[in-house]
Amino acid sequence: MDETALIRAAQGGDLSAFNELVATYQGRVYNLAYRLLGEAGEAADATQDAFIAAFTRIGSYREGNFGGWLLRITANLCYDELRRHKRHPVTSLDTPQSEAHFVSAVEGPEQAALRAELNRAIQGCLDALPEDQRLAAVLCDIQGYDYQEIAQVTAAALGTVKSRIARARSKLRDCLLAYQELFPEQFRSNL
Amino acid sequence: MTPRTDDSLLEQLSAYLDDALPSDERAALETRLRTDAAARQALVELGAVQSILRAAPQIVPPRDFRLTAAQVRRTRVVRPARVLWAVRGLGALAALLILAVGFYSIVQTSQRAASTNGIVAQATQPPALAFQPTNALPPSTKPASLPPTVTATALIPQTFVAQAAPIQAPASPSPSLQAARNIPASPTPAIAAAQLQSGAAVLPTQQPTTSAASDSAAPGLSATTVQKVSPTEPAPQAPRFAASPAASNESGAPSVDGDKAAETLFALLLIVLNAILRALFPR
Repeated sequence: MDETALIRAAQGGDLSAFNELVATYQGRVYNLAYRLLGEAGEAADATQDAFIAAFTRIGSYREGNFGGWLLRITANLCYDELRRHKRHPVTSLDTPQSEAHFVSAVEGPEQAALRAELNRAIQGCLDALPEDQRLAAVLCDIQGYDYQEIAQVTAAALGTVKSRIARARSKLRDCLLAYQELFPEQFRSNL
Repeated sequence: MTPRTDDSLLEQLSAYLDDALPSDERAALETRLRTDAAARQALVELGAVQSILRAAPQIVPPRDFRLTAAQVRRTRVVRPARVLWAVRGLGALAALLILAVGFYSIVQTSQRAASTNGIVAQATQPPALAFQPTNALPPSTKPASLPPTVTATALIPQTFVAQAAPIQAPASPSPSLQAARNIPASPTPAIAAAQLQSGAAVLPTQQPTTSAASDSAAPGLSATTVQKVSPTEPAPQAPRFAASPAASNESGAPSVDGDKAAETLFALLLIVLNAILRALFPR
């Protein structure tokens, strides 16, 4: 079955059809949740909640970009979680941080440690961004969506998307300067 | 690191990296980049940020997120399209109900105002006489002959023609009318009965005029008055405000208040209905 047929079947209550869509999109949904929340365990919870919410609301989905629709649900859930954090901050002692596992080819322990450091640096700089700029930067530079798709996911005008991405990159440039030694040589000289 | 680039240049450079600039802006920016070293440096830095983020490792989901039947059972599947139409239907019904209740209130308000006028007018004459049926009147009280143009008009208010003769109600508020303002709050049974016939109850104050209209020999009959008593009009209501301005003003005050209240209520209802319909049917 193609995606449209799967969506129709899921709209009729077919759980196995919906689960095929989950299998297709769970990597993207989880990565977005991780980049927005910055913690693997919370990202997993948000991903699960996003798919449950998507199944519950799939009747309201209309023709278009199903992946974008899923990411929009995910981003909104993550925003809710971030706001909850602000109201009820938790320390790392309360909830142990989950380690992220990276998609990679076979690599030695040294390379793996370096990648983990690089990831922490990127995530630290992303966490310092305002939420709307963070989402725009993640969707554009990490997930590879174009401006039009980002406008759909974020429900923002194209001009707004353009501005958010530019501001996010500018702030990331300033932040990443502190971690120059972690980056490959070609990036260090350019920052 | 270069000095901070201004926002518009920053946006242009960022969009340029994503190949998202219109061709004319792109050409202009490329011209500038040839001569502006700071802009070139800013472009290189933004490109480095973009490359670093693109090199960020993808995270492996820690588990499979496919849903189980148990998870789905806990959350009932909603069919928003159906729910939306159900809500719209209920909303439309609610709006109609509000409208119906509003109209009922308006009618009630108007009737109350009209019956208040009736009480005031009724108090100027004996109630029992005022509502005597036409066919019970003595034949001698009916006009012997009527001009053809006035006959139809005169037939409608015959009851009041007959009543008016012995009473001779003045055109201007008489002492009895003035006294009527002080009538008791609760009407007598006869007056209460009169309220049920609000159309008839308001008319006794018009009796002199109506009587004059039906009696062509009466002096002081104005053409205006005759024209207003038309066979096609609901005769009991039409002359009420035309025949005797002084009496109308006195007894009509509660009616004007009632009309204002009714108009206000009606306007409020329209606003509420409009808001409900806009909410239900955004387009």
